[in-house]
Amino acid sequence: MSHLMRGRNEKNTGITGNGLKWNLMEPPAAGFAVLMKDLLYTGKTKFGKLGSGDLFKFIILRVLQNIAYRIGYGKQGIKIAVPPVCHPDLSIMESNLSPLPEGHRKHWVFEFLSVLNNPDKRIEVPAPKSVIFELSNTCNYNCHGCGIGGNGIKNDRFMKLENLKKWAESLCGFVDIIRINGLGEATLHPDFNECVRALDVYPGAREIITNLSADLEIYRMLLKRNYVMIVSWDACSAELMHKLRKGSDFWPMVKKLKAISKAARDFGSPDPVLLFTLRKENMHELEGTIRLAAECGMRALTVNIFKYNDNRDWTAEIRREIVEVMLACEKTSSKLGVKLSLPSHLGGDPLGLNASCKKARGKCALSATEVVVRYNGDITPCNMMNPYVYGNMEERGFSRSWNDTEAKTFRHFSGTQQAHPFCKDCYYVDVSNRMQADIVKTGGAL
Amino acid sequence: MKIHRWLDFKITNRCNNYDNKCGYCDVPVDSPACAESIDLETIHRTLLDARALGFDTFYMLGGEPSIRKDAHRLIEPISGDPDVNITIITNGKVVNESMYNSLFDTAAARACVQISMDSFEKNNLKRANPDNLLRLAENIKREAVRAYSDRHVCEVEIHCVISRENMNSFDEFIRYFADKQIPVSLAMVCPWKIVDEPVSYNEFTRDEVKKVISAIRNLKSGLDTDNFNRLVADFAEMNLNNVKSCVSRECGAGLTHLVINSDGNVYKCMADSFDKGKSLGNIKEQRLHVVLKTVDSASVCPCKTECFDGFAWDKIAVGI
Repeated sequence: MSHLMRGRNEKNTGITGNGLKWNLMEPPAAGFAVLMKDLLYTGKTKFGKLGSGDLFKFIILRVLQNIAYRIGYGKQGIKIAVPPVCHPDLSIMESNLSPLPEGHRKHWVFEFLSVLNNPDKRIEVPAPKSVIFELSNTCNYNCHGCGIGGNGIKNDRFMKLENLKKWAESLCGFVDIIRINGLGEATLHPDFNECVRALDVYPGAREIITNLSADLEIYRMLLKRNYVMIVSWDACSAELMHKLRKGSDFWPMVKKLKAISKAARDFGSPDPVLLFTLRKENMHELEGTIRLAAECGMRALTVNIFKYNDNRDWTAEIRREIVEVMLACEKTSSKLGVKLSLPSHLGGDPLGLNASCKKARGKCALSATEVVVRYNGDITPCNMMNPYVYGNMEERGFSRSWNDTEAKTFRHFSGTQQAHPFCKDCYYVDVSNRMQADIVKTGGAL
Repeated sequence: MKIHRWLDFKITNRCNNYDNKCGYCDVPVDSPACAESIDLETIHRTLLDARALGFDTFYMLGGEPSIRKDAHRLIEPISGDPDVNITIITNGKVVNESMYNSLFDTAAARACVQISMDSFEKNNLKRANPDNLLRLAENIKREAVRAYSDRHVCEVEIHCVISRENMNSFDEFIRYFADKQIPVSLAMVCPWKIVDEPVSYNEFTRDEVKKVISAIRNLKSGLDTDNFNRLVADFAEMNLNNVKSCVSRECGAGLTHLVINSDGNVYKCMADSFDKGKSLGNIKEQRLHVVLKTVDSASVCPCKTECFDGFAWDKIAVGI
């Protein structure tokens, strides 16, 4: 507000329009007394230290300014708006903080507020190289330890096709890999084919994680498009498979597995990969699953490690047994020509086997190179489905969220003692399918 | 959980106790006859800037805020915001109804008039007349009840400083007000010391501090301030245990809490605000977000008894 408005009487207070409260102001009273008061006030508060020559110039200019101001004011009065109060949306960070251990929370709040104070504090990272779309947050299986499919298929938990199109447009033009997966089964999406077609226009390789419950034709369609198919598969016996992956039907799935292996070869598509989530209950079926993979014509199997919600290290008490299983599996896979990818570590200890994937210690590069867009537009860090949210595609948009305070805070703690608990002993596997995807991208072959 | 940021804004340096200052006040204040050192425009602009930085808890203090001629307009820019908590602190020696009403007429989630009062003794460090303050508190309470709604909590609160003067009676004092449904927040006199032979109002023996801690822990007024007061006990205990080996601790000064003095200088915390050399910048010369850019990490400094505000706010900011 201009200094000349100071202390003016408002009339018709409270007129509303355009979401603002407007006040009509009368022109300031003209006259010698008003002018002198202004000169004294302004002179004293802002120009008190000037020499007499400069003070004289100031007085002349100020008188001219007052006159010009009144002429410009006109006869009708002007509208002024009470400035709207704006404040940052802290709700996303507030939700992010809740699952953090109490000891970490303080550090995260301090870092978050530090970045809020000085947004330039942390460098901005370039656009991600890999994007994952969670088409479905619902599942037809109810797998042990997951829970997403516990209440059947929920129709309100699919990403809307128009949203996928809109969101892909804002971030897929510059990525190397687009993956379709999520906590649910992507192929259940009612517009799945349309979704796949919507992504066709973008460059880069493609990946999908599936439970293999869709029609074979869907998988053939994906293979024709050079999708790397990653099939979740946790057992070599029907009994255990049905127990761990409730809702699955083992033998038809084996048949389908053979069919997609063949289709991949026929189309010259990248080899499909089996994704085995190792846990106490199925560790002794890993070797059998490698044999099954070979029988079905599969040439790659990646081992992931089951994680409890509270992130406790269940491997600690049977680590030696697990390593023995893995050593045996290395031999078997080598003999059968199945490329085996094992984790880089178990709990806090490096695994160091021949088939262990390489994982850099310290900062995790994924938080700066990979992004997940959840079915509801939430933007989260990586394909391990960390619940931490950077922002939302609809509310903040991708560009802003990717380098906003929440994202910078997350990256700051990556690889430190205060890292997000979900990242502790992360079993992110740099799977062979990612290598294959690179080959697809460059036109090579495995 | 909610993230909170607290701003202590000393909106005047003038005090009506200028000629007869509170017994424990070492702050050089101005006479009521002096001109204000900060104008209303700067206060308004800074409140909006602070809100834009996520500050949601505003304490307006001084000097004595109620003697500002424009006291009823102090919080105008944030008065329509339903997500803020606003408290005006007063010594209650001047009754400024328009200021109280301007506070209760806001949309704030919590609007509170906080009256400084330590005891019912006639001769007290506050140099206050307890009968007058009690009457004022009850009158404001009536107004607060009138303006109260579920989404707009209006309160009058007593702020009681524990010193040698009242260390044996503050709990009774709290219970008295609790019966009237008036909450009392506590603080130890600042700075306080542990000595073998206490003489001054701010000196205590270890046993006396332990007794104070125990009295606070046993307080159960049933009002919201119980949780806050427990932090006073926690902090006193922490200082009691570390008094000989003063430890450093990471603190959210300038992050979870901030202080602006009446001359416009901005400080990370209340303890810093008495040392002009620690000013981060001045809101008369720069916008608050420019000044705050320099605070981009947590502070680590030795824990002192003056650090209570920071200690409490770090706890509140992270929902503990």
